[in-house]
Amino acid sequence: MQQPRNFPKVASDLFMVQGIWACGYLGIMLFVQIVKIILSLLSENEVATFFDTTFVASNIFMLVIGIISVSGFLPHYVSHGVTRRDYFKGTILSAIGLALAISIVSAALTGIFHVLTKLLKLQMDMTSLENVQMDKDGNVVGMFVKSVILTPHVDLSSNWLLATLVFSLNIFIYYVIGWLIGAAFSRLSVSKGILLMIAGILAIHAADILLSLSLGLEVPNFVAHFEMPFFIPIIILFLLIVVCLWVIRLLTKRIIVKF
Amino acid sequence: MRLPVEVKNLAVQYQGQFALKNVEFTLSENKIYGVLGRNGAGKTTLFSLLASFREATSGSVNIGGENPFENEKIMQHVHFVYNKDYKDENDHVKSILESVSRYRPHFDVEYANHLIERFKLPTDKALKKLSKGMQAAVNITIGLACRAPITIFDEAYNGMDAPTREIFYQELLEDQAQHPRIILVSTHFIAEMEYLFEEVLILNQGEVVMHEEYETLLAKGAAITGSAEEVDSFVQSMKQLNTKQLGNTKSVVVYGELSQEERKTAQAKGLEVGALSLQDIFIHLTEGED
Repeated sequence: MQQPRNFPKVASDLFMVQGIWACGYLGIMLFVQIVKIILSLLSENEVATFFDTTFVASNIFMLVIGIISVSGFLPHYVSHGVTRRDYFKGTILSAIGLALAISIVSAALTGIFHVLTKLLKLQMDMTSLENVQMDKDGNVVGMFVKSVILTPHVDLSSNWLLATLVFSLNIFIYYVIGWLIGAAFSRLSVSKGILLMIAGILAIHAADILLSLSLGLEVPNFVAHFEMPFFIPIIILFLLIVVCLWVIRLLTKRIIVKF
Repeated sequence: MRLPVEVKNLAVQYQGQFALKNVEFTLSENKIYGVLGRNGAGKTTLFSLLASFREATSGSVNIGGENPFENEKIMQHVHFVYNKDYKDENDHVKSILESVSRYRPHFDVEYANHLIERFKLPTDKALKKLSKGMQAAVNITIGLACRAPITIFDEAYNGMDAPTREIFYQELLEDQAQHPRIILVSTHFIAEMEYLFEEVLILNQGEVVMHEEYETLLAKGAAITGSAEEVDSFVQSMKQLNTKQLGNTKSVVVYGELSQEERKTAQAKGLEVGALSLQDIFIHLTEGED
């Protein structure tokens, strides 16, 4: 009667399904990058690296697929005898795998672009996200948009391992927040869903600040005077992720499967 | 494998309205159970509880002696087949079956392929491109091939044409004979499907109003046919469910078991005593409740 546990199967299945979506997304981004490079060669404009472009766009991609997880995948698994607990564990594992895979593929393709540029002796001006400045007096309205664009970022050429890990961590956070928003709207009323969506946006902003603090990057004025070892904001950041996951678990633990 | 189902004092409330109340029954044998009820009687809510799609407001559901909700050991053995909407499904039948088989310990791939042939399901088309009837046949294929010890078919044959439904009935009976399990079937095609049922539960307004073996249930009444005057005099003190007349020949369906004496009287008067149909009983037990 006892079967192998289901959550590793859920994790691998979800990784495959969402991985196919990610391939489609990265394929489109790759096509856009090639077009941008060709245009920049013709017009001598600057072009961002593939890593930087996907660094920003992947936030939205992960947020969206996180949002549809509860309405799309949970009913499917429960209807095939998988517990909500196994769905929860499997989704976390698949999201971690997906975040790592997207950042590694993005870094690898950026490396290939770099090598090809050198081999073909192409003259191109590459911009970096580090050149984009954070508006220190930012208001709440623009917070979310800025959070997506001005996410803490490490240049790939300066430290490829750290850059890739920061990329992964960042898009994983976006997935978790999307998942939280999707769970809130599936389980709660619209008004409570909106409240949790606002909480999710604030959590993204808090995560950005914590990651910036640990990386020694520019932060808003109200936290600029805090001085602490790099691992303290990292620990707080992981606690923030754990709290978000705990709320998702509470929301989905006894959720009714509608059909 | 046998996983008895025990339901005690079960109630489900939606916004103050009872969808189920005081529901109690035990399904202990591997049989085909007909679960009948009018629209809104609570059948789907009951099935949702058995399949752990939701929890009860009060009371208990036990499967194999355990609460099935979020119970990995039980949930994988309960399969709920309903009219699943495949309008956004790009996958083909075989990839859906492959995906399902990973989570169903008794899934039989060969049998699934046999059913694909029987239902003439196209394997090269996305599910969303199949007709409603074909999509229903996909659901039935999954439901049968899972061979879950508790399998629930909730109006899963809507959209299937009569010959396809007949194939389903044949396959259900054949597979049940070889791999007995608890199968719950709800339907509005009562006359067409009643021969499948070994036991019948009738739900009305959220309550179980009848739970009997099929044969016992049919003995609860009779159809009396003969000359109009003789029939009228014979049934005048009985509970009459249905009357049909053609010329001087009349047929009245009565509810209530006939005694040996009554049967002899009927015979002496030249009346024919026929079997009651499940549909007659169902209509009688659930009528006038709108």
